[in-house]
Amino acid sequence: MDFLILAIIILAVVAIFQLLKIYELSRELRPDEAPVITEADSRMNARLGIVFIIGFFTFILWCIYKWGDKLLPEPASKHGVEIDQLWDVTMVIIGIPFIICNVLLFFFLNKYRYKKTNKADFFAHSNKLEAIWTVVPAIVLSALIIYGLRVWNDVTDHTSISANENPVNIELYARQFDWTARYAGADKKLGDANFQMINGSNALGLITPEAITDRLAEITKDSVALRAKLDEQVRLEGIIFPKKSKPVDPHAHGAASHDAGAEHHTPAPNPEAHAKEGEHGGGHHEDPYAWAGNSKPVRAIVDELERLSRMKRSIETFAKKRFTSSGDDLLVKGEFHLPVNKAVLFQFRAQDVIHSAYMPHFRVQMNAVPGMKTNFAFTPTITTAQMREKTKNPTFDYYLLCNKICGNAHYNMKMVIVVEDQASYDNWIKEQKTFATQMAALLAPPAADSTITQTLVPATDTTMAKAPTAKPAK
Amino acid sequence: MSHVIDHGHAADDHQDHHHHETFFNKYVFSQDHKMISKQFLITAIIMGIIAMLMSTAFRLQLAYPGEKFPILETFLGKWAKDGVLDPSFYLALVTIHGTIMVFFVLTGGLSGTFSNLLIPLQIGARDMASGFLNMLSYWFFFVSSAIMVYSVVIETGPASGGWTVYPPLSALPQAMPGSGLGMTLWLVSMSIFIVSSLLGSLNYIVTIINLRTVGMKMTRLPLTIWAFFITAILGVLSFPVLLAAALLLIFDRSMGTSFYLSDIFIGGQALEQTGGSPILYQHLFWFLGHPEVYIVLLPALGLASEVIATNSRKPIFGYRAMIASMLGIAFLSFIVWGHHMFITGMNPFLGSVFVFTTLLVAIPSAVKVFNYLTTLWKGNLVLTPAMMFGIGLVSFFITGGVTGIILGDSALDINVHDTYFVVAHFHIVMGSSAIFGMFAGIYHWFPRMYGRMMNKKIGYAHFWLTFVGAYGVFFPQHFLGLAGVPRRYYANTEFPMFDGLVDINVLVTSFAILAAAAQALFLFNFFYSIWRGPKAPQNPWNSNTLEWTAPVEHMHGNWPGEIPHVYRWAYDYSKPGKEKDFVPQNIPMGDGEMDEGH
Ligand code: HEM
Ligand SMILES: [Cu+2]
Ligand SMILES: [Cu+2]
Repeated sequence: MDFLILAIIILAVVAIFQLLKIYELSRELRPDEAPVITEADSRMNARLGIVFIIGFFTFILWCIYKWGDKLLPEPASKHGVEIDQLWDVTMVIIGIPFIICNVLLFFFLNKYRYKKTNKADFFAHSNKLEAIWTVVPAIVLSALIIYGLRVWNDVTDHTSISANENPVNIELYARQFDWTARYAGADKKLGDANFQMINGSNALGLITPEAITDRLAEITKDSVALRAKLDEQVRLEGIIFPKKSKPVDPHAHGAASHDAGAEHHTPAPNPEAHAKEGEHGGGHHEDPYAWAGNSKPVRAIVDELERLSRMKRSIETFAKKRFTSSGDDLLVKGEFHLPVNKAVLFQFRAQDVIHSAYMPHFRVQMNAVPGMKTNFAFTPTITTAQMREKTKNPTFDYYLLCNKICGNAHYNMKMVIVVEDQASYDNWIKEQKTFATQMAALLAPPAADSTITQTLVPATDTTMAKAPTAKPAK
Repeated sequence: MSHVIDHGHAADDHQDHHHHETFFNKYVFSQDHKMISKQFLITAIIMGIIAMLMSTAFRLQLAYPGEKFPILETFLGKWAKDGVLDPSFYLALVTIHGTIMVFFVLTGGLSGTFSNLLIPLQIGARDMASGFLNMLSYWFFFVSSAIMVYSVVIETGPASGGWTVYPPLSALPQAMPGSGLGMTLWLVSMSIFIVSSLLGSLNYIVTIINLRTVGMKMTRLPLTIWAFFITAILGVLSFPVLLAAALLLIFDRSMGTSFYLSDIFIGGQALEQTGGSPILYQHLFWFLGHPEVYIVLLPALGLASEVIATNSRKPIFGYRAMIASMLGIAFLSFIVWGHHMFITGMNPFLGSVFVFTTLLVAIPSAVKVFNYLTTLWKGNLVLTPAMMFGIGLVSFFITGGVTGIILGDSALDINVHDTYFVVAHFHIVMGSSAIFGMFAGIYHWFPRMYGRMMNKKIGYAHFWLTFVGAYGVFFPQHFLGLAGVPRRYYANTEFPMFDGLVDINVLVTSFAILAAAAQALFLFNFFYSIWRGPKAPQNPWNSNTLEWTAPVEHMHGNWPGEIPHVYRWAYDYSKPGKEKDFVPQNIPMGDGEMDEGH
């Protein structure tokens, strides 16, 4: 059916095209026809202009009639009502010049269209007129600016909400391509997080003592594996280390490993030492890995080892500072709940690229930017159940969308938002699990099916967690 | 004025050159502004066709998500297996479509064509200040166009992060396939493009300041020239900032710096590039990006001013106010960029400042609209195809302009930012207006470029189908946006709340195909008329400006003898006491006649 419409349109265009071509060719036979525009040309186009402007406004009305109920759905938040009032006022203010100017344009086109006998009025300027249409828009816009900024201030003022309304604290965390909602736990605070903490059992990079241990163990395990790989590579390529070297230098250990032949216990390069050397080194640019020569694989492994070591030191550094543990925070996916008529203070974070949290029914949108925390506070006023009644749509749901291009599945990055009364909300929240329990479950010693555990918890070995890790750099 | 060049001598020089003209330096490495203008135009038309076909392809996907269009597979191969567009290639098409339309068609193409054609001819100069730089400007443009088009066919696909290429998405090849080689090519292409644009703009500015003929005061310049002049200044001031943004992005991508990156975990790894800010890029980008919309729009408004005044047989109303409003718009356009960033988490107070400056732009814009309307009022409107496109431009400028007041108001922007409401807004006010200005220019100056006339009947058909088509495509998109449909979505099928909106998309796509097909009329008319159109008279539209006093035949130096002197402004149409309804600028003042130009 739709194809039919398309086909007809295309055929119509082709037909017009052909007709004009025939016309054009036949015209060729009448040379010297003056290419000027005649009264008839002007009349035809002026009339089409009238048809157009009537058609245009009819079209707009028809669109509103057909889709009007889907536009700007009823605002379901306190500030949404304010925004919609501003919207209505603005629509009137812009609607008037939109209609008047478009109508005048096509009206003049018809009224003053070219006639041989007419002569245009030589009217080059008028200070009075120009002053009028500078001053009037200026006044109207000033009013609109003042009104708009008052609403904007109300909407963005989170401090009074935090101070007076004891809001629910929620973090929306975005990554390619899903959302996680994190609710402040028993301490009523969102705990700390750091992107270097992210791993298979800690997608948000949350900080708790257990998570730190787990993450450090993982790094240690990765480095051990890498060192083994390095030894293997060194042997394969037959790289020889120079005799004289500092004890921490990799060549010494590497050389030793050849004699010992026991790969697993090989003390391999100690990149930390070099990282430190680099820091203090100032002027001297000696390549600590000169022994590796041009071997790309070796250099790659060494670089990776250094990277892990830097990350480890960084984690150890912030682990020593005071942090708010996130262990009590509740993590939910798929859908999240809000109590009706209670203020919610959102914090937004992103893992990889910019995303944007868009909740059109609540008139809420805020970017989630890597490396930054952004906020938005609002109070939902209509429960999902009430909205289902109002819209006569038993399957109605509020949605959180992603509204900043973030990759291939950008169009499918969503959460359902359920607004409900306080009692239902309290029940729901009781059922949610804390991050600490969720992580513990993930890290539980491998059950019968070890493959599953392994995919869930990549590169984490519980036995390794107890192994002593490198001492923090001083 | 000491800087006026010796025209007589220049004329002799050019007679000499004439004999040495070969195919290569006439048609390829030409330094003649008229030929360069044609080169820009033809390149822009080709780029325009490519970008338009891309839009039809992704419009099909939006209207019929998941349905099979074997034709897509024919053209796109692995990107449309079984005729269904791949999500990553959808984004690629949207990105390249936007980039080509904004930069290659409406910046390079529009300014390149008409600044080159009209500046020397309308101010009375033999050529641009530097023919050589002018030639370089075109060839840089050509190379950057070629690279951009080439990037579409590489294995991993072209840049796909949107025409604004925000990092980190655009900075990290792990983030999406298009952020690999495709993005590198995008950056290379744009850097070369910026060089082209700067060479062109500097040339335009210098030419307008230095090479005006005797009597051509700044206050007698046609509005076209004023528009090109202001546009060139905007370009010179803003494009370097984009170049800086692009360079920093190149550093982040390939040298491990972190201007725009911080705290990122991607591809299973925490990046070590920290301390930068993705928002910094947006500030730099939009510092160009907003002036850019006026770089696109002002030349179109200038062309329309000239076309509308000429065909209304009436002076443009409020010549000085028109210049002042263009200057006002240009100035304000540098201090409004933050309206693209209201919801990046920037300080709400800073947002307020940008609301203020942004809404101020509405004042000079309103003045322009009212002045156009008053120009038509009591005119004797000769509705040439060019005039119809000029009228179309004014209509789009009104319709698209008013929604800017919504988007510039931060509180309202919260809900429509990055939705189809924005897509509707900028396609109408910038896309359609500027394209219509460009068409008006082509129909009006075709006789000047090729010495022949385009067919007016096909011109009318082209206008009406395009006008109706453009409104049909872009107006309903407001409704999609109000229903909350985000832009850059491959499909709207994943959210039940959008289920009722499929038929809007079908409607929009039908109009898009109509509008696209209508361009075949234009192409036929254009190329047919170049060779077979009826010979143009010297001054087909009875216009006042100098370009119509120059001979139609291709020649270096524009005028065979001395360059005409100018005695009056460009808008003495239907002047009382004159027999004809136009008095060209090179006609001396009669006894006791007053010049309206100052
Ligand atoms: C042939 C008629 C055109 C059609 C049917 C069309 C349609 C579209 C559509 C559907 C989008 C994608 C919206 C999205 O998914 O975000 C888009 C994006 C865009 N279009 Fe057009 N367009 C047309 C002409 C133009 C013109 C003349 C311009 C010149 C300004 C233009 C500039 C853009 C830009 C800048 C984007 C944004 C790209 C991005 O999101 O990065 N388009 N167009
Ligand atoms: Cu996203
Ligand atoms: Cu802007």
